Amino acid sequence: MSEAREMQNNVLLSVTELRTWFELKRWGFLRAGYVKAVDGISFRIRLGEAVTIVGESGSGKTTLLRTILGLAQPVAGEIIFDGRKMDGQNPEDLAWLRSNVGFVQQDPYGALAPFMTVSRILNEPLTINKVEEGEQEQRIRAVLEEVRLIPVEDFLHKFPHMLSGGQQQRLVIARAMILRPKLIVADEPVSMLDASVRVEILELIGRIQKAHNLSVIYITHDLSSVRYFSERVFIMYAAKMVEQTDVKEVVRNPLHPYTQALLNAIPDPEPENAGRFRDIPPGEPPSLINPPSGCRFHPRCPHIIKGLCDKDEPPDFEPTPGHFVECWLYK
Amino acid sequence: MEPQTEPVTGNPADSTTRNGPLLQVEDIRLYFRATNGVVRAVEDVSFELRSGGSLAIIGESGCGKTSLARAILRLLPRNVDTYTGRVFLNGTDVMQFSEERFRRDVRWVKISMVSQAAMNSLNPVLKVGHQVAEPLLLDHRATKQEAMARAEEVFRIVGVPPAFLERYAFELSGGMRQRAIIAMALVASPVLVILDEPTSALDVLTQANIMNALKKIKKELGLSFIFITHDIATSSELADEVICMYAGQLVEHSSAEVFYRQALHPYARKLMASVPTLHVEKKPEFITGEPPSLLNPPQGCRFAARCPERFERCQEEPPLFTRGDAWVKCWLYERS
Repeated sequence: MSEAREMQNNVLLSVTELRTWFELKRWGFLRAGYVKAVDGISFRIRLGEAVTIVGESGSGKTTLLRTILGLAQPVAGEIIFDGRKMDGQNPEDLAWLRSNVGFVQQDPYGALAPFMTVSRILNEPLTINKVEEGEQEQRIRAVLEEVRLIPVEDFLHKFPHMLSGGQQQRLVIARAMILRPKLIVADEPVSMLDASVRVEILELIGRIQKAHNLSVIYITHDLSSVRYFSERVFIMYAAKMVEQTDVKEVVRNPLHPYTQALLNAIPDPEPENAGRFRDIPPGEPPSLINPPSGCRFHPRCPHIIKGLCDKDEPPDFEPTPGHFVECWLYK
Repeated sequence: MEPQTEPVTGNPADSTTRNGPLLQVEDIRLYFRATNGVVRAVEDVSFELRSGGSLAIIGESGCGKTSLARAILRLLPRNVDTYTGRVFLNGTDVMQFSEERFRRDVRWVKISMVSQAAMNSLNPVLKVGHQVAEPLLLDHRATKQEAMARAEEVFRIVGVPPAFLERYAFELSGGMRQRAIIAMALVASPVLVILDEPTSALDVLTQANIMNALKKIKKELGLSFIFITHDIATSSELADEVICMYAGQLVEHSSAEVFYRQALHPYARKLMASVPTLHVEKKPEFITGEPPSLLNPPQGCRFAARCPERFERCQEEPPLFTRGDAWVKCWLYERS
């Protein structure tokens, strides 16, 4: 009992049955349906834990993130951050949430104002959140040192276009860190960067996470970088979270047929690849306006159980402790 | 392939035809004018590609791989400063062709290209089938019926249902649009297709499906491919030879077997070490520093500043050394 309590106390972010739907209008006023971008997602993140959300484009991972950040309105469900329920309406709550959550965007150059110097970019959140003037300078220096934009003097007065892609992304991370948040959300932070720089940035986020005992949500479509970064991984498909488990477990023992297909589709660089065809389910992810009944993967699934998978939505099964999967094969 | 029938314009005494591989590229150099100087995008790159072969060109962004492809197809922007070198296609020096003849006989007829994010450049107001058939209708290469029949055929080859010929681009998913673009590159029966990041904007499963389709095309039609990508893991899906570029230069050209197992050039080795692997447990490394500016590249080996194995010799520019079947631009291979 006390252990369950302990768990409860350590939970930083708890999301329950979250649904974010976008209304489709026809001729500007008639309702033509909804895009169900996030449709019934629940998970918990403990303080100091790094999790990865893996999903293809259009699977709803970015909408999930935007809903957590209060940038999109959920139609149902509950978000509790650090013990406080967020309903996205109260501006005070939103301001508090956003000072506690750092956001690392996908495209660093697009995320940085081109007419602001590095010091102004970092100063802005401090001014908005009324940090004392005397402390501002010191905080900026500390955070730049932390992301290794050193010597700090060389960078303070530069504009974003004078920095390389990797340095820009470090600056975005510095900006996310400057208010000393409890949670960092990173939306594909390395997908715009070159292979040789990616690992460096992921290691930097990892180091900051450990040093400050932060929680991190890392969103990616690239399953191969996951194992170097986080402890737990959530797999999303068509607005649903189909599998939640440890990183090691997902590579060793993927349960959901979609996860298995993903693992099968990602090549390691080997010369033999050129000679072999990959066993990939045909077709493409379904439309989120009118998703298939039952399990959303059933039209592509090689292990479909007729009469069950195409009728009833699978609930969360837990075949081994801590490994959740939404698939009828494991009932 | 049928030989070029028209006499080559220019001096007939030039050795413009020779026997050998499908494509020979010799000392391609492409510089661009920029506001603050001349950007040396591609510097003296040479390679050969045999018929039916597939060559992956890999490197980080800005290393000149796309410029090299565009130089081969002569798809150049207006700010070109220098453009020299020779490109032999089936032994014919196509660099000497006039622009008009190049357009008529080479571009899209013998060599076609799938450019980066091309699936987003389909014309929204034309039916996809019409766009795919269009290269055949230019210069009266075929009648409308023949062209549409051929479009249907290539649709089948790339795995798009023929009914999609009558659809518009917005009615197709990303994967289907990319397949239509590949169909467009195949429609005029070229001998060589240049694929510039053909799958990098797509999802993992769609990407794997398209790579399967390309492998099938390679196997069944015997086409040659040049496959340009920064995604090293994906490059291994279609390569039997690999060229690695760094700062506008070719630094290694070796077989896939050598490159993916044990690359030779220190940069190529570091690049391979930076690739995270899913199935094999390995800690990826990163390369410290950044590639040099192509406005004013350093003397000597361009990788020297970041290279863990540099020595005095690296102050001079290394030539291409051979090692077995491979070429490496590195002083480490001088003796062998």
